[in-house]
Amino acid sequence: MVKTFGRIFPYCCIAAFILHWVLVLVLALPPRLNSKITALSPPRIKTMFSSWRLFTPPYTYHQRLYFIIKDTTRNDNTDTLEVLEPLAKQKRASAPFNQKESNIDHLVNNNASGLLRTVWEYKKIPGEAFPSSSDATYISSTIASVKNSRNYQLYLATLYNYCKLVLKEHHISESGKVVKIIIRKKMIRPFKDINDLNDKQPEILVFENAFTTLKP
Amino acid sequence: MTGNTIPYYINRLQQENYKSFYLAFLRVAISTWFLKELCINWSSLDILYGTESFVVHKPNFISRLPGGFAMARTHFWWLIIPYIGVLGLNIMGIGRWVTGLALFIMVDLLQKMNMSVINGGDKMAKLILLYLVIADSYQYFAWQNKKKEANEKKKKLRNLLSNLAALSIMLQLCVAYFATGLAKLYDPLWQQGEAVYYAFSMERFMGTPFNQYLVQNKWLVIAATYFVLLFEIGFPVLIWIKKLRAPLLIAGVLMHVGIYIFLMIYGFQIVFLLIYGLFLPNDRLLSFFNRINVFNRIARIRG
Repeated sequence: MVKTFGRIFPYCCIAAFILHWVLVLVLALPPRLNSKITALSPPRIKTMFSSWRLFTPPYTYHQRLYFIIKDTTRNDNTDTLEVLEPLAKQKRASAPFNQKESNIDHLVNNNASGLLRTVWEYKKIPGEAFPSSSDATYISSTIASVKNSRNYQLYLATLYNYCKLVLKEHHISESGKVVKIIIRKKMIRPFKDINDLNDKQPEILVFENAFTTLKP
Repeated sequence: MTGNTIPYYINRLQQENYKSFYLAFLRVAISTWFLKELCINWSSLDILYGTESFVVHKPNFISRLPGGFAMARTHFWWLIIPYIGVLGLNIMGIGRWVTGLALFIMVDLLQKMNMSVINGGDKMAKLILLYLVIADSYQYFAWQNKKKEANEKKKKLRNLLSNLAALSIMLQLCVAYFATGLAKLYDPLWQQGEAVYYAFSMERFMGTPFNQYLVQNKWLVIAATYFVLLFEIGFPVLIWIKKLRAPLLIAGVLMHVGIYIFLMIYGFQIVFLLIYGLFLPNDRLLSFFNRINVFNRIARIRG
């Protein structure tokens, strides 16, 4: 019995090895080639072996995340804080020892992108749907269709938590304040206009929610 | 024909651990890389795993534990301290595969505590740890590498598993490049040779002030984009041809160093470059190591 096992074990190893690699190869293929198979695989395996997509597709815009802070006691008093551009500058200034800035940049950007993905999945963003305008009604109706989804709530809660940190850094008290989040895309100058240094790209509004109080 | 081929290859894989030196080096290097990552993240550990974290996580294994994420965040040092210890043990090769497995589980737990900051390098490093669990990476750089000789059958099995593990790490690199290359092939900006322009222009990744000057050169952008595309598609196929191995590895080093400098993506590049050593012959690496090894030199001088 032990002898037989000893004889077949190397073959079992080779069979497991081949099977493993066939599965990994299938899981790693781009979604359009293997969507049916990856849909069947457990999420844990999928995240472990698939999604190798460095800069695919490349970003064609810079993200801008605005926190609009309104004092409820004084209707005319509104503060606007944009957080991603200063974060990118800090990251560049402290490179290569920029781990802390890099981590925060990663966390905030990933959550802002996740929020946009949740809202705009299968839909056209305002810049594509209405090239010259950003329709607030269109955005609010799109948000309304996903606002109960778990992902939307998690991403939004993360950004509000980050907002609290930013307020603390700027010595702004949370009490009596309501906050709204705005995300804009600032397009990178198209490649065909590479040498046109005067070409200023517009910011497209892609997300705007209503004012809410920050939860403790 | 096939009936004889499979036993022949199995027999060959059992004869020797063909990557014994580099597997040991990789164990030490990847553990050191994890230690380095921990050290450079030291000041932001509380933001990443502790109570200062502002990320609201998707439910996963940790949220199902008693106390969930709140509990894990309050007591994350209970994981960090043993993690440092296990990293040290793995560097010294103490505890062998048991330590390797414990390290893999700890890395997995830490990554689950903050999925938002995980990049391709972290994923690849974790997979290397997983494959190293089944490999015999203790013939060099291990506390007690002169272990009692195992019987022939056990030795053969260990060689087979080590060779399969080494091959798996190499294949994992090939799959990562190939999947990325294939995804790029479908993307219009990569097809038109414009993608590097956008990557270099992103303010989040603009590693040097030179980025904006470099992307002014249209031909440089097109050449760099197609170079990356061809490299990622070509590497998994051509790396197995001995004559092309050296130029491909040099091209890969150039690409990763370029990403390191110009796009400020650091840890990722080191992990990918570490795997390159597995494509080099064991004996050549070993003789190189013996030449530069300070202890050997001292012994030679003492005569």
